[in-house]
Amino acid sequence: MQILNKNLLKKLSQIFFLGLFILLFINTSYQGENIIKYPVNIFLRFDPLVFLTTTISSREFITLALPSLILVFLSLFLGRFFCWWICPLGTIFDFLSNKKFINYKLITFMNKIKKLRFYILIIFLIGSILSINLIWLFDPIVLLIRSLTLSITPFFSKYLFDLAFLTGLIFVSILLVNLFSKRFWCISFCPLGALYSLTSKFGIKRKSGKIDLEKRSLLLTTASSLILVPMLKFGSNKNFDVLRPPGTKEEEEFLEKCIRCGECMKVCPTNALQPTFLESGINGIYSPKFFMRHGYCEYNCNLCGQVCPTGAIANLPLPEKQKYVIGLAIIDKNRCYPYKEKINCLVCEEHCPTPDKAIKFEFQFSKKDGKIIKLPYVIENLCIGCGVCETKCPVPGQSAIIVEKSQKEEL
Amino acid sequence: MNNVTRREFLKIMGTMGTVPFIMGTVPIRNYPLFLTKLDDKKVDIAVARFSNPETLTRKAVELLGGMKKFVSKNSVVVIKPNIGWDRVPEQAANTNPSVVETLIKMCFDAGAKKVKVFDRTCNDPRRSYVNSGIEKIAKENGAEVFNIEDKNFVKVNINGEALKSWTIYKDVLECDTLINVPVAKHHSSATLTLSMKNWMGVIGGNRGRFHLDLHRYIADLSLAIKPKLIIIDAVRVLVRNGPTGGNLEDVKQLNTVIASADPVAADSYAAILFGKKGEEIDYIKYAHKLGLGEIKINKLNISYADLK
Repeated sequence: MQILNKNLLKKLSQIFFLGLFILLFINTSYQGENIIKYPVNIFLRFDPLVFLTTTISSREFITLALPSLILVFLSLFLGRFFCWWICPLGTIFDFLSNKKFINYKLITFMNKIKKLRFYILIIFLIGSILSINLIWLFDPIVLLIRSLTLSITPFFSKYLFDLAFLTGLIFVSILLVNLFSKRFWCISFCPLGALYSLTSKFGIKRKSGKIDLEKRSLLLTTASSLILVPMLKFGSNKNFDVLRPPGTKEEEEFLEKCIRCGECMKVCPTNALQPTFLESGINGIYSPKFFMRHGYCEYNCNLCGQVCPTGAIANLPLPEKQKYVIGLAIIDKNRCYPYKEKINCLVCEEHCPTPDKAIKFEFQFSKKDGKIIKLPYVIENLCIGCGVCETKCPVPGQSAIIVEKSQKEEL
Repeated sequence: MNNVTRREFLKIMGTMGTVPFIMGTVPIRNYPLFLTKLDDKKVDIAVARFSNPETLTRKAVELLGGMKKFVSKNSVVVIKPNIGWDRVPEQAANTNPSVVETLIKMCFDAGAKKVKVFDRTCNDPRRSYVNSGIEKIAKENGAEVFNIEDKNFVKVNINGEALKSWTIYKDVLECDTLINVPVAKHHSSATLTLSMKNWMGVIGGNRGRFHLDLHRYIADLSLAIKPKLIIIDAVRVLVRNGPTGGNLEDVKQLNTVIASADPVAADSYAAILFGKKGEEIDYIKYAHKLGLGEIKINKLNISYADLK
C-alpha cells in the first residue's frame, strides 16, 4: 500500500510539473503586455547545473540561478528526487515508453556506459574553468526548451527557425532511443542527474550502488578535456560580426554566460532572433543572433532580456534598451533605388523608429526626368541598428541598407 | 410705409434676403451654427473643433447628414483605422481610439449588423493592435477585430495611370459600408498621410515596392477603393518625424475631426492643417485629375462646428 501511494504521488507530481512546464513555455511569448511575469526560465533558474557552469565560466555570481541551491539542499535529504518527481524531460521519457519496444541489447549497453554521465559532468566543469560553457549540449531543461522552440513551435505558429531540422532530429532520436531503453539518456548522458547523484551521495539518503569512478578513467578524461576543449576557441575568425540581442556584453563574455536555451528566440515578437551555426566559431553554436532581413528588433520591446535565465542578455529597462547599439545601418548606394535608379523610395526612413530619426534625406535634382529625388542617409550616432530598415527595404534579394556590427574603436 | 409698389416690395425682399444667403455660403467661423445651415446645399466637408474626440466625431458626422445616411439596417460595416505602429495613443502615430470607439457605437446605433475593424500593420501586429488601444476598445464595443490573413487578399484590376493591378483585402471589397478613419500626420515620402494613403493598410503583396511610384499608386488605388464615409482624425497630429513619431514634442493637439464623402476634398482640406495646399501634394493632385473628387477648397461647401 505504501509503495502504491508513493508511485501515485510521483505520477501526479510528474504530471503537475510537466503541465506547469508546458504552460509556462506557451506563456513565454508576447501575450499583450510588455512584461512576461512567469516565463519558462523558472525551470532553468532552479537548475543547479546552470548555476554551477555559468558562474564558473563567467567568473560572476549568477544570482538569477540562485534558487537552484534550494533543490541542491533538498537533494541532500531526498536524493535524486528531481529526476523522478520534477524533470519534465524525464516525465516525457516515462510517458513515451512501452514494454513492446524494449531492446535488451540496448539496455545492456546502457548499463555498460552508465558512468558516462559523470565524465560528461567533469568535462563540463573543466570547460567552465576554461571559460567555455558547454551546458547546452546535455542539460535536460536546456535541451528540451531549445528543441521545442526551434523544431516544434513552427508547427503551431508562423515562426521559422534555422537549424530546425538538426535540432528536431537530435530530439526525436533521443525520444526514440528512450523507447527502446527507458531513460537511456538520463542514465548515460545526463550531467544534471550526475550532479544530483553526487550531492545525494553526501547527504543523508544514500542509495545502493556506489559511484565508483576509476582513477585512470578520471585522469584520462581530465587530460583529454584540457587538451580538446580549448580547441573550441582556436578559430581565427575573431571579427565577431554577428549581431547580438540588446543588453549583451562583449562577444567572449556573452558566450560564457549564454546557455543556448532558446528562450530569447521564442519570445522575440518579430522572429528576428535565430540560432547561430558556425558564424561565431564552433563555440558559438545555437547562441542567438539577429537575422535582420527576416525580422527586426521592435523599438518598444525588451522581452529577450526579461526571459534570459543567466543574464547573458541583461534585463534592460526600456529607455536603456532603446539606447543600446545593436549595430549600424549602412546604405549600399549601388543597390539603393534613389541613388542607383533615381527613383524615390524612403521606406527605410519611413520605418526608422527613433524619435529623432536616424535616417534622414537630402534633396537632389534628377536631370534624367526633372524630378526631385530624396536621397536617404544614416546618422551614425542616432542609429541603434534595430534593423527595421533592412527588413522593409523593397530591393529584391539582399537589402540595400544593411545593419553591421559597429566596428568602433574604443578610445 | 403705405402703398408700396410690387417692384419696390420685391427690391426690399431681395436685399433683405441676400444678406443671409451670403452669410450662409461664405464660411465665416464666428457665425453661430444655425446661420451656416440656412442654405441646404449638400455639405461636402464637416469640420468639428475644440472638444473631446467623441463629441467631435458625433458632430462631424451629424453635420454631414448623420450616420444613417451611410449605414443602413443590417449592413456589414468595415471601419479602417490606422493601427500601423507599435505606439501609444499619445504619440499620434495611430488613429485615436476614442474616435474609433465613437464610430463603432454610431454604426450599431444606425442599425449595422456587423462592424469589422482591422489593419495590415507595419510593426508587429500583436503589439500594434494592443498598444494603439484600438483592439481593446473596439472589442469592448462589439466590433469584430482580427488580424490579416494572407489568403484573404484578392487581385483587383485597377487600370490606373501607373497601377494596373494589386491585391486588396476581401472584407474591404465585400462590405456594405466602408469607413476610412486615418490619423493625419507628417510623412516624408508622401508629404502628409491623410485618407487616401490609409488604404495602404488593406493591400497585400510587397508594400515596399508600392513606394517606388508612391504618389501615382496612392491616387490609382482610390479608383478601386471607394469609402462611403471618411473621418480624418486630427485630434492629435504628428507634425514632424512621421509616420512613426515617438517624440511627444512632435505631437500637436489640434482637437479637430473632419468628415467627408469626398476623398480628394477631405485630404485637400486636411492638408491646410499642416500649412500645405492640396495642389502641392502630388497624390492629391493626381487623384483630382482622375476625377476622384474636388481639390479646390473654395468650391467646397464646408460646415463648421467650433464647440468651445
